[in-house]
Amino acid sequence: MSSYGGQSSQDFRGLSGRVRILYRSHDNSLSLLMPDGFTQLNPPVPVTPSQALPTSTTLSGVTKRGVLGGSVAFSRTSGTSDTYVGGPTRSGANVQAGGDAPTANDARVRPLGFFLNDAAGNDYENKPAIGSGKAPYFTPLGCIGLQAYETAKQIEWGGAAAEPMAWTTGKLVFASINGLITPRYRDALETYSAGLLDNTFALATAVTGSPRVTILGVAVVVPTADIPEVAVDVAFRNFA
Amino acid sequence: MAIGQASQDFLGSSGRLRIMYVGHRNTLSALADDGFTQNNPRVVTTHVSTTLTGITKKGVLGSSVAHTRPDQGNNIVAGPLAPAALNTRPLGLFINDAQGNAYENSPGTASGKVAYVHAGGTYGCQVYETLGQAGGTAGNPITYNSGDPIYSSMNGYITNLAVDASEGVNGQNIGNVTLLGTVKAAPSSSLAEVILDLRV
Repeated sequence: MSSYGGQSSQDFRGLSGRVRILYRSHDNSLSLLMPDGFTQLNPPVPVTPSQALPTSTTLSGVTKRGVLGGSVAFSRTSGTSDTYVGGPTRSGANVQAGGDAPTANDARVRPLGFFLNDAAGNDYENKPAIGSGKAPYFTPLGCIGLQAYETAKQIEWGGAAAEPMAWTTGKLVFASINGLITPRYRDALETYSAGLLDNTFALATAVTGSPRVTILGVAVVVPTADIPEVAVDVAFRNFA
Repeated sequence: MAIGQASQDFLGSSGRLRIMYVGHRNTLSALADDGFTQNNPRVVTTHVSTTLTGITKKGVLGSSVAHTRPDQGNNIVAGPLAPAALNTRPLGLFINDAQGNAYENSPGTASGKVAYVHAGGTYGCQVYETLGQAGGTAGNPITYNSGDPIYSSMNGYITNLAVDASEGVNGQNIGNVTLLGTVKAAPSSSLAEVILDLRV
């Protein structure tokens, strides 16, 4: 039995989605999904031999393109319109050592909530995202169970990247450079895009308690052998 | 003037939390064992809130703050931990006393869970700190005003003093202290509650 109590197929893994809404807020579909939200790789920052960013074990076997349910929805701009959402903007080439530095547009990519479904949909189901060009996301406040999350450090800093990291209840949750949740603010997309890290992952300025990095909520349930899921009490805020 | 009318300016209620606009009542997590047995106040016993006068009941109280408790395991909540521990984070406000009340059902004891409110809403709290707990303001009376920020004190009651926050004394960066809400109506001679808008 899972730490939640209750029963479901395969200990809640028999879902076609990666999201369980435990206490609902709003399902927001105001914005269109950016075109790259249908085509991005998962993870969007690919593993390369030169500067490997570890892939979350929760993405094992996921070959589907486009944003995934349970990943973080970010505000995005098309250049002419700001009414878009999507995944993170930094491509692998951008983020890897030697890539380009964050741009002003990167600073406008901020987390908004959690996508509820895969943009590509599932076989033998309706595909409302492809049909509508929109992918609804869960907005604060509420409580949500996420089956896609980072399982290793992403950025080499104070310990080797790829080093497993422990999820603990009570940890603050951030949006990683891959658009998954992580308990490490150093791995947050905003840490990078704000220029707090440079493009070789060197410390550009102090990031401890940076008000630039959005806290998405608090982990109240963490993955166990019974159930590979992080439940988050969602309340967006920033460091004081 | 009090907001609305009730017996004894709402003190005639067996509950200590008045729900005006509700967010979610969350029962996902079990209550830690010490959530049923803790003293009130839990940590600082030298500067006791006047709102606890006459309360001898053990266990978490309605209006007090639910925290994550990783020291007790996965998916467990209760009052703040003493001595300090990392990742003990405030989540919301307990609705009822863990021990329940005489001549009423005691669902906390029966289920091992005590619901807390979170995800916004407006609430009246009858238990709150009335004295500073730490540092230069220890023992000094607290004055609440509309618009004050609200934090969880080291006892797990609401306070407007960030320096008394449970997360601050837990050795965590004061910049990490969670803003629980904002005062809408401060206690007065005709209002025995702090009415707040919850932000978590």
